[in-house]
Amino acid sequence: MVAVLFALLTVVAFATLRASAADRATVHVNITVLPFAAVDIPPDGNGQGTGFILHVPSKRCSILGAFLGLLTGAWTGPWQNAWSRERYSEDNYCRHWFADWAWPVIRPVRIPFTVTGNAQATVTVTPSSFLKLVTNRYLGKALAQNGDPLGYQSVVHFPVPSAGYAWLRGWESYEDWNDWRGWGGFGSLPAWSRWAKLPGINGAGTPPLSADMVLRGMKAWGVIYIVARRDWTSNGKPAHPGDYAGAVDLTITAENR
Amino acid sequence: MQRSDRQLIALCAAAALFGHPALAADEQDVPVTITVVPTASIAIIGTTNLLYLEIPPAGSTIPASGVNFAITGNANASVTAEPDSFVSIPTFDYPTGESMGRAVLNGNPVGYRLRLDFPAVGPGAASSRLPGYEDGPTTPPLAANLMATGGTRNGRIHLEASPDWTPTGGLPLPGIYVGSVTITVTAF
Repeated sequence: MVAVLFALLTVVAFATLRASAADRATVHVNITVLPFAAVDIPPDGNGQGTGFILHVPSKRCSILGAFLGLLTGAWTGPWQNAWSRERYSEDNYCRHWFADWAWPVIRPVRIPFTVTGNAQATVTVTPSSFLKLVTNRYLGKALAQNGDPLGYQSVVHFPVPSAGYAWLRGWESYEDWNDWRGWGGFGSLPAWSRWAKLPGINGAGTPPLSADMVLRGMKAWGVIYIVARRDWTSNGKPAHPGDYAGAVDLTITAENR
Repeated sequence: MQRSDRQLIALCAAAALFGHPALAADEQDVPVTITVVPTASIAIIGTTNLLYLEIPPAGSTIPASGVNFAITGNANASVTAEPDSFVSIPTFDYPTGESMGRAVLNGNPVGYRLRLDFPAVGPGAASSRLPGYEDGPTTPPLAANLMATGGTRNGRIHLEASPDWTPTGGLPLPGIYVGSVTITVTAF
């Protein structure tokens, strides 16, 4: 007998949303390294960051200067007019005769800094405020506690030849820089090691100095010199002894080489 | 006469014609097994699957600009992330070298860290990172019960990078460093 079967057929189903129990996705990673440069100024030495104190030492030649003036005939007595008295003051005798001893120099402040970066780094230095001298030249302005101003020149050297670079011997003596004519005391420098100073224009910083940080091993050193003379004042008269505080802005920029 | 009646008569006639006894309807039940396996799938949310970061300064995509993804499934899901290649970078925590993800420009690598968030928000939110002491996926694996939230939970992956994460500790040259990360989801 042939059995006839009517069956309700049901499809056995394996229900899966995906073919397997694991899935993956890929996320792409892009890290853009920008050209950059950073500066580090250690808060030690003569400077506190980019702030500094210029010390105007006391004069030593009040009596001696007058005596020398009499001897040399430069000072000819009370009948001098005001202009002559000013010109042949004791300050000038001191400067002329025993300059180093009688007229101690205002020691320059040296602010070393370190630049790290992966690109072309450019450095400029700008005083935080400016002082107009009697010569109509503008320099940086440092202030005594009583508000008296003293002008200063900013010289930036970047990059210096080595981390331990210092100015040449003798720079701290009177003749080397008090009659400053442009800081020839740097001596013979490599072509890539340059320096710049304030141009004497109100608000203008030092011309930019650049360094290829890659060629310098991603790190370079520089020095800011703060230089002042007693007569860098608004009226040309010697500044009174004391401490004069000032600050400069160090600007560094980076761009692709 | 109804159409079904005519069909039945025809069927019986056919049975008689071929020598069969009169046909009667029969049924038999067949066991049915439907096996639903645990499954989970991943889909990137949004239009980009790119983790992007600019350095310097050192930074990360945390908290906002990571890549978001959705895990959909019918069970528990476990998620890990692993860079396509690794580089050893000396760090404070691993002075002899931390195993980081590797992004490359002209053969020069920079390292990156990962942070995986899953679920990114809500109950059970958790994070994991690369092991650091060795190559491998983020640890621990992050798991969540998908059914408790309608079958879907969202996650996010983040990137962290620093300009001094190079094998020598020196600075990398400017440019775009490229790598990739695989996110793996496993259902259980």
